[in-house]
Amino acid sequence: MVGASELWQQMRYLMPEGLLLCAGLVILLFDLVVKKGRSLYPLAMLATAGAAALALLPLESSEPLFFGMIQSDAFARYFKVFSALAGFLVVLMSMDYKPLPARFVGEYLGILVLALAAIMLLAESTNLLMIFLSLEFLSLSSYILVGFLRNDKKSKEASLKYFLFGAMCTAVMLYGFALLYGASGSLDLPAIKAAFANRQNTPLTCLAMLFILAGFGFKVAMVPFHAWVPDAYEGAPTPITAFLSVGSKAGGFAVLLRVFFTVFPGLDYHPYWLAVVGVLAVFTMTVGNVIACSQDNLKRLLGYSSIAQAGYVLLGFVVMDGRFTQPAVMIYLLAYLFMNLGAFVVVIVIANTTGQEEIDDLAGLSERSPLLAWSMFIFLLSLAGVPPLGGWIGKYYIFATLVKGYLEGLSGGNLMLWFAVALAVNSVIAAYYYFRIVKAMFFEHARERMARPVVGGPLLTALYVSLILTFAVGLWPQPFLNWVSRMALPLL
Amino acid sequence: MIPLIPLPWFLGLAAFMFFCGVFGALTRRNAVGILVAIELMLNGVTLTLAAFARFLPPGADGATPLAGQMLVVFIIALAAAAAAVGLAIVLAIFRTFSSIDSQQINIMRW
Repeated sequence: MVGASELWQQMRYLMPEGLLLCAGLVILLFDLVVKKGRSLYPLAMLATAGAAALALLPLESSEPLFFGMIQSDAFARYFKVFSALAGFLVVLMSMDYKPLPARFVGEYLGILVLALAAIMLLAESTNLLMIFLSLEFLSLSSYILVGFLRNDKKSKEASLKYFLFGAMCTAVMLYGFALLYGASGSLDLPAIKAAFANRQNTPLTCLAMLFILAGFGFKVAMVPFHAWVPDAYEGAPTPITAFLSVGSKAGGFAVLLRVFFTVFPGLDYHPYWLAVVGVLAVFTMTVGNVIACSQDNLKRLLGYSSIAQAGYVLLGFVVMDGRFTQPAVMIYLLAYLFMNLGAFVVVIVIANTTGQEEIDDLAGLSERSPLLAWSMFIFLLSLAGVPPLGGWIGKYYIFATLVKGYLEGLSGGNLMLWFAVALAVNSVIAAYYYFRIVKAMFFEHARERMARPVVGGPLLTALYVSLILTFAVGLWPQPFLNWVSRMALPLL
Repeated sequence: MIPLIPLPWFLGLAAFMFFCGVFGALTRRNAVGILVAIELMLNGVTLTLAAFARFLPPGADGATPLAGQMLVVFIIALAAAAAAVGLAIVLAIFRTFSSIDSQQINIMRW
């Protein structure tokens, strides 16, 4: 039995989450006494920056903590840094987001900071109970944040659709957990793996795994669990759309990686699983890219684009070889964080100026604000995977992973070659709609009464940070790659 | 003691409840109706878990596996929390749309 003092000792591994949880509650409390909600922004920024700093401290433990509920290893630490960083940028973006009702800024920030802690917990859970709790924690906060614009019909509708879809996917995932528990006799991921190591899998296990994929697929926006994405992205406050597209998605990928690497290698049908995931990934990117081509709303377009990006990342999972898969997925997510948040910063500035978020609102942006137009251009190039930007490094590693898997003759190698081809074809389709935006910005003229966009300090900071890091990941990838490889899950 | 009702009966009933819930969630148009259907799905899950927890062989220390029952309690608690958020959203929807028919709440398309 673990004593109280030992548990207290283990608390030091949870400092970033602890800081965020305390900060979230303090913000919610302060909201009751502080008249101006805006004065809470510095607190939220301090909390997220502090959490990022604490997560950077090399405090890791390869031992299971808290009765095997949590494993605070390097892999979890990577996602802690990731989520705190994303949170910091999202708070910066929220500061100048006009439609946000000033009266409720405190609640908004409080829930946002708590949601960041949920992502951290999700990345370090090693027990199905803990995974369920942190996933639900993240989901419930996200539902509220999506519907935060009280007077906006779209926001409420988005929230309802997101909630109903999410609640159903969670229920399906829980049924998968229940079946897995029945098949293995435990909720603990290492124990489940051990249970499968020395006996044959039953159809029950396969069914359980499929159901579980529904819950995680919902979080990362995998087809066919992507239906909520376009509506939730369009209706939500734009900083929250940005948060969903990077933070919540990264949390989903973190838990997916952990479950894949701890439970799946024990399964008999291992190669078939990889084929299933690969085919789903190809569907995900194709559906996202093809539908994105016909979108006129920027947020909706970026929503479909984020479905497609989830498909690229999922392809990295197909090669279940620890040396390639994890670094590829993690570097892709890192690049995606900066380029996607950057694109949303531009969307916020446009929405603040014109009051809406259509592609037409970008017409002639290069004349009205060259800085915005060129940075949007860079972010879109990066999203399309053009060298030498961050997105290119990510896509290159996913592609290289697939080709390596083929060359090294891993199981299902021929399939991997086809997946690589699908990835290449999809990148071309994606270029079409990204360049539609570029065309509007550079080759169309502004409507007459369009105002010059004004970029305030916080948004400008977020823009520069995203811009610099998008370039940095692309031009000097080595330090990032070294870091990411060190943070990968230990191989089994 | 030999249990009177064997495990497959529990699992069968739970699966029936779960898929009734799935059917309801997919076919209902009323948002509250969908919520009720999702609760039914969750109840199917909890019954499965409770049945497994009762019938699984005891662990190395001879104790019955409690993890399943623990998860049941957490699911019930979180279902209540989710219902609170869900009903709040439905209320907000009703105030603006004057309806909770999921087919009519559709100003965003494609």
